[in-house]
Amino acid sequence: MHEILVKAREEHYIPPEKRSNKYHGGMVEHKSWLGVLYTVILYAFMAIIILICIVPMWHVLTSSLSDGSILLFKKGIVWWPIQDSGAESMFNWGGYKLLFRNRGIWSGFLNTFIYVAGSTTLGFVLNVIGGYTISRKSMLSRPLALMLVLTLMFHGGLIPTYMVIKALGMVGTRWALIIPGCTSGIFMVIMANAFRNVPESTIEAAEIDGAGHFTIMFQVVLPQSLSIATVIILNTVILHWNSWYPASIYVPTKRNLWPIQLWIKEILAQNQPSSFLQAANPDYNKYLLQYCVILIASLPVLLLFPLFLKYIEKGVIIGGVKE
Amino acid sequence: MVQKPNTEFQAKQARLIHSIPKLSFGKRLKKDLKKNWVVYVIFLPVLLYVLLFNYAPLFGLVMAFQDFNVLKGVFGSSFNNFANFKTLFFRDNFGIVLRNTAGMALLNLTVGFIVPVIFALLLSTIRHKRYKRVIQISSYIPYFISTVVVVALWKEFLDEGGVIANFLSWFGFRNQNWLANNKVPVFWLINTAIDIWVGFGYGAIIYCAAIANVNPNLHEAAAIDGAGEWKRMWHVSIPSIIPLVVTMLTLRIGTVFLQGFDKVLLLYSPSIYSTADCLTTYIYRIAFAGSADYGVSTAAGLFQSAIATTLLIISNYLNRKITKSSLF
Amino acid sequence: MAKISFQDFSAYYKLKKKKYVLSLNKITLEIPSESFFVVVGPSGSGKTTLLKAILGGVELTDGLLIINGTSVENIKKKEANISYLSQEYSLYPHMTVYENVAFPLRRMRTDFQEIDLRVKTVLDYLKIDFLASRKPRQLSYGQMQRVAIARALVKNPRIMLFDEPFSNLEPTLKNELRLTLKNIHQEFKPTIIYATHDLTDAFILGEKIAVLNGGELEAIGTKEEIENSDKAFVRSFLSR
Repeated sequence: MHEILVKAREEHYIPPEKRSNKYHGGMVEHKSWLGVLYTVILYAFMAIIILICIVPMWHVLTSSLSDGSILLFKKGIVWWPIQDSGAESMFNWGGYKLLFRNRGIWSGFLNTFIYVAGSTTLGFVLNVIGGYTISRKSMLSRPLALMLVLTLMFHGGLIPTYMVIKALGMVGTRWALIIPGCTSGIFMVIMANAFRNVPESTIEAAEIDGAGHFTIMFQVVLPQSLSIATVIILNTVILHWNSWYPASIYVPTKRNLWPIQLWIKEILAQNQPSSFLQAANPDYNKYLLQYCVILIASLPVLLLFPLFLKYIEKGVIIGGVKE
Repeated sequence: MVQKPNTEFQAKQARLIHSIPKLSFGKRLKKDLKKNWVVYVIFLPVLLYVLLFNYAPLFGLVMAFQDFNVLKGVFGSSFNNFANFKTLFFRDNFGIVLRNTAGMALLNLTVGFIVPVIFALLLSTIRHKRYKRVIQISSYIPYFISTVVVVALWKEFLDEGGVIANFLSWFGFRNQNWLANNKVPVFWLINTAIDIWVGFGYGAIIYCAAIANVNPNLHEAAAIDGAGEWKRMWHVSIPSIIPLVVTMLTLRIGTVFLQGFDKVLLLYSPSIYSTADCLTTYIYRIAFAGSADYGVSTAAGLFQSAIATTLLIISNYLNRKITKSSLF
Repeated sequence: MAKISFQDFSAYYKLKKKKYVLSLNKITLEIPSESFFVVVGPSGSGKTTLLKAILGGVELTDGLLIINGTSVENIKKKEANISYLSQEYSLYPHMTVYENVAFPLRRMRTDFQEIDLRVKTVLDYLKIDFLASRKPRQLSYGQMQRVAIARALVKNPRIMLFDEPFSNLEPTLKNELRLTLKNIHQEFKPTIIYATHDLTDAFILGEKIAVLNGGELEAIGTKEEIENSDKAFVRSFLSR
């Protein structure tokens, strides 16, 4: 046997000077000029993609610091804050000052905060309860699970839902924006799956020690499903932070209840260039207002999401891409 | 929990496997309630929520068959059977609305679907890890911007003199406000483009994960055979993720009708109703703007729901057929 | 005190929707209070089912199982003061060792200082006090089992059930823990029911031994009685 191996090695021996640079799937590969070309094009293309993704928000940032009267007529991307030739500094803070003084907008932020916090918390509790009940081995867990799943398939639609909420007296109040959309059957199903993966022995041990169901839910099962719970919470927070549509339906006239996104929509609608040109003594900083508020409203999510990237990506993979 | 019997034991007990006459349903229920009543009581808030906000509205669907009068309410309004549906279907613009909806959905399922996949594949050929990460994180940014802001931005860019309008003018298109252009695929393309811009990074996540999880031995074997990045992508990565792609596509068929409408609502304007109006915005307008015909609006909603549910069932069936697994 | 008696007790567990398998067949035995009772038998003979039955965890049963004068169906787990230890990982992975051991006491709403005292005492007794702030994933399997014993012990249970807890451990550790169990039994005097397929375990620990096979009780008695038994199965089992 040994001789065969030695012979084989001799036959296939390539002296070092003749060996090519090829390594198995390793870092150095034989580069053809075609491969290099491809790489260059690809990297350049990706750079364009990066720009396409980042530039719009950059544009918002720079616009918010520009001079409003010039900005009105500027077409195209603002690469750097544009100022009047006589301006003292690079940045015009007028828009932000106006933002700071605008009561309505701050109430918008407060409202969004309330809605996000309220909806997420309520939704989370319901998710845990729903998921727990379905994940138990009991007679009713299957029918109940079916009931939840059916909600994903059949919808009453816009009007019927509106009428139910109206009948509950919630139209025109904050509750319409906290309770109705706070959770969905799919989250409960996901939580139930996570709970089912918790080793039964830990639950049994708790039962033997006399733990009641609430204890088991929040102290045994949930802590072991923390990553999935985090994903659900993150998704809910982002969803509600960016939401405007329910508010436009349920509290259309009550500005003091508007979430921030609705305010943005309003300001955008008001800031048509035509209205500025017609006014006698326009405050051009008002035109900046939309950029300032967009920036401030988007900043929290944009700054925070990189921190939770791990969870977000994991969540997508676990849950499949929804929407 | 209880140890599974080994085969020797099983053989011996075979004759002892009982088909225990099950306790009657009522008795079993009673026993179960006695044991688990706490859990069911805890479930009540969830039950309440689901009944109120998911099932109660279903009763409102009866409005689709009524000559609904706000003052008379649901119980006071008279039934007009399918008159609402007749009104709906034979309205002038209903056919157009359907066409628009179908057009946008089709684009969503073709172009809109394939872009994240391609992006994920291209990304997988980038070897510089830092750069790859930067690209990925940048690609997520549009997803986290709110719809209102997204629409605002695109409105600005698509306007006459805006970036996109300028860009297109290099190709010979007249520099114009594209959101006022009423020719057929214009709005649909804009809508799909926005969808892609917003979702391609986030949508690529699952494909990136799948590509990364391909058995590295396959890649090594291909590399040994002399395949470079590009060839490896073609011959290893793509075939490996085809099952996933197919699954995602079939799932998407089921949900394509249910999303993205608030964007259209913000984007469109009366001048482009004839290409931009889709089923969901149509329902919205019938209900909240102008005629406030709740009956017809609900009928339209029911119609849309029926289509969506049918698609969901079809997609689930397809999915199961293809991958021998199901959504639920 | 904590006398357990099985009378013509049968237990079934669910195989499929309508099919049940007989797991224990008309068992009649008595477990005297405060005794160290060992149940031996090959895998699948129904030992685990026997223990689960005492916990009230078997759905379908026939016959009587009486603990301290009350039928097992009427006993609430919380008041029963039983503890159960098996081979499986049952520690709470997200809590430290200290919190794991304290958990039963918190369920019983003992006050904070007493919890502290008892947990520390028990950890000390089992010589694992240095592990108090570690999480289960940082422990070796042997250490985990000791923590599990601590958790079982801390609520001073009247009945302790052990389901082959040491079969995955190396012999030295096994010996040590066997000795610990014996000491626990002598000091705290609970009724211990110990299931195992290892005869050495049975003979070292058991005051009274029951031999199970295929859900049937083959023999029951003290160590000497079992050794001198003339029943066929017992002899074959002894010779393994």
